[in-house]
Amino acid sequence: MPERLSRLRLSRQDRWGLLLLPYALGIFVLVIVPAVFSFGLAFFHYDALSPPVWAGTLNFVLAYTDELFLLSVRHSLALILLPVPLRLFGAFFVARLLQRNGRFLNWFRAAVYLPTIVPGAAFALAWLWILNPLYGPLNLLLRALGFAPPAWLIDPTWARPALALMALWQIGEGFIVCLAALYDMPPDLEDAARIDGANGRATLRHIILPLLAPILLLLTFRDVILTFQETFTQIYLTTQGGPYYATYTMPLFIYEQGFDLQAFGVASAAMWVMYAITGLIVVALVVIARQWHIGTTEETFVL
Amino acid sequence: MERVQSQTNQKRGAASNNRQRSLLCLSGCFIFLLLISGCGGKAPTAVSFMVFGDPAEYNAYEDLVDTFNAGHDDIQVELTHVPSPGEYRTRLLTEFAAGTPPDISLMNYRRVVSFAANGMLEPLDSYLAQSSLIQPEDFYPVALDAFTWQGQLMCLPQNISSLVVYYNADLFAAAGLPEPADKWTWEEFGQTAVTLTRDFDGDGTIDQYGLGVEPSLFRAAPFIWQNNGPLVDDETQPTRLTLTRPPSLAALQWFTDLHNVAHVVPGREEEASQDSESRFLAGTTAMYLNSRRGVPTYREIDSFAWNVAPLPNGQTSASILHSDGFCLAGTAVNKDAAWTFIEFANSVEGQTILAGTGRTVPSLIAVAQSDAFLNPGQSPSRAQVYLDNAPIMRRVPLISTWEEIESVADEEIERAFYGDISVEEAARLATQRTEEYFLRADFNAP
Repeated sequence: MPERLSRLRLSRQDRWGLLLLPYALGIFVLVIVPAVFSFGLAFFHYDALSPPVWAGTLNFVLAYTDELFLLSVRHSLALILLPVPLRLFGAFFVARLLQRNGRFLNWFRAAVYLPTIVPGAAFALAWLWILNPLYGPLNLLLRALGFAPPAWLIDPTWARPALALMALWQIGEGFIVCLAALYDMPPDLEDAARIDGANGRATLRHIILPLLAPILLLLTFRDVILTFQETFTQIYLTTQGGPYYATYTMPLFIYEQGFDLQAFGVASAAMWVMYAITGLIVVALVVIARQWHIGTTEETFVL
Repeated sequence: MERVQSQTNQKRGAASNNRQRSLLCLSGCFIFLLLISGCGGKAPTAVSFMVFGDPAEYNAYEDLVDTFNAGHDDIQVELTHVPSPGEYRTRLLTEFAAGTPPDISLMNYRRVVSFAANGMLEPLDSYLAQSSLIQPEDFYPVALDAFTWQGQLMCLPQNISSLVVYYNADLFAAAGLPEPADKWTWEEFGQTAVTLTRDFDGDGTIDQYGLGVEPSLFRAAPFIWQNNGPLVDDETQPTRLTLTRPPSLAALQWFTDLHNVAHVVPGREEEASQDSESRFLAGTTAMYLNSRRGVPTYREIDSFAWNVAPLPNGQTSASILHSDGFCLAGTAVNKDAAWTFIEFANSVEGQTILAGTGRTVPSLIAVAQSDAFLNPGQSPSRAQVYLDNAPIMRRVPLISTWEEIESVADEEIERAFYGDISVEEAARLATQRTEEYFLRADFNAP
């Protein structure tokens, strides 16, 4: 059997294709097919208990005129602004810091990656404890240092920063990608720059960052989409969108419409609006990147 | 048998005689096994049953199901348990929508209507009429009424619980206070809570709260009624909340003053850090408002003595019905087997088991007045308090969107309770924001 397989002489590309096939199948069955169905559903009134009734574009209008929907869009966008750049720079600088080899650095690298593989629910519950206003370790520490700490998830002004703070710890994937890119970079470049008299800052600015720009751009896309669409578990388990809608985001709106109010049509319409907004953000990022000439030299890689 | 052998021979022409014989023997054994499993009595009919609640409540239903299964060889009830009532509703909605609901589900009367209005439940009138174990007259009428939709009984109520005051008797004794009487006023209640709210070490942080109560419409409702205020404009065909009417508003003001003026309940941060029920269990909150649901959990307390008292009275006395019913899904395959379990659970034997676990105030008058409920030899010894509530018990309107109405109103009441907005503002916002749900609702036509 193995003999016959090796005799097939798969090209490098075919082998990649074969490796990615399960994921492609998964995305098709679990994401694309339901998404197409829900696009159809967005034009119907459907409560899952009685047959769907044609609604035209009413669901899109309903989503658009709903105050809560507009609020959720604003909050979702706000939740991108702070965490995404911080997560990205965090991933990059930690990777740069832990780039060298060393016995202890291995442990540090594992420690940076670890929070990322904690299941979402466990991660959220752990932070619920960490951010407990009276008995949480964070506020105990801050109080011991003489600060008057906020109530975090309970306080409307601090709830969003608290969520951003939580997001900062799950940077493992970006970290690994940056680390791989840094290892991939020929060390001669840095050596040459040093010989030419460039200090650390100049090397970073003129050599490393431009070389890594395409990868950082890719990570930005990924993080924007992730933060925009995938923060549901954490918000649902920590604040349920509160206090008084301070952390009410689009995924939460979609969930409530669908599973609480049984308005699956409105939920589907809102989901497609979310897709559209995600697309717009990515297009905007591409335009900015083109303007800054980021990634244009490695077009095959990203753009 | 020959055919099996010949097929085997064709397939494995080269196989040895020995091998053929062992194969024949194996297939013979297999057929024999099939035969005896066919003859040896039917497999019991499976009935699924889903409940919500704390671990202690789950144990109560486990007792009930075990007793039933032990006495019924032909039916096997399988218990599923979802801890939080909020998730329970979502789970039920999803399973009903998928067409695979549990055969029997335990539902609060406030949640039943949205399922009943969509025709998801099997009416139980004809089953009850044919029962030799139970009659409609055996139940408290107020409980049956809460599960009657468009003239049909949709679920069989297990209990007539109501909101009462759970109190830590040791803290009352330590403060030199007598335990609450069978009749007391809002003023006495408030004064008691003030006395029991203590900062023992004088560091400015309150160590013991006098009272714990959820800031919600369902908790505030009995006080609104006690002040002769209305909750909605029409009990049977409501079109809006009426929290802005002066008596309703005054009651809400008194309710929120418990936090904003008297400071006898934990603030928002304190509540979020450790909720009032946990504080009551830990012995740092003296009085806690809850229905009977908490009793199985409170019975695990061994560090202090506790008991129950009625709600204080305002201008009049009023209490609020808490009741859960056994509901039969319209899609259930074995409805008769499922009914056999519902009937058992709500017979004198079944309700006596549940009453014994502390979970229920039995809806069967005979069990409610028996020693199993009134003198179980365990706390609360003042169980009569729940039964005294029966004549003054009221319920929220039966409309299909009530759940959504409560959750929106709760958001505004919570803000007023913690002083973010005035009571007037909360009442106005709650009324305004819930209007759309009244418009969408299915009403209970008599």
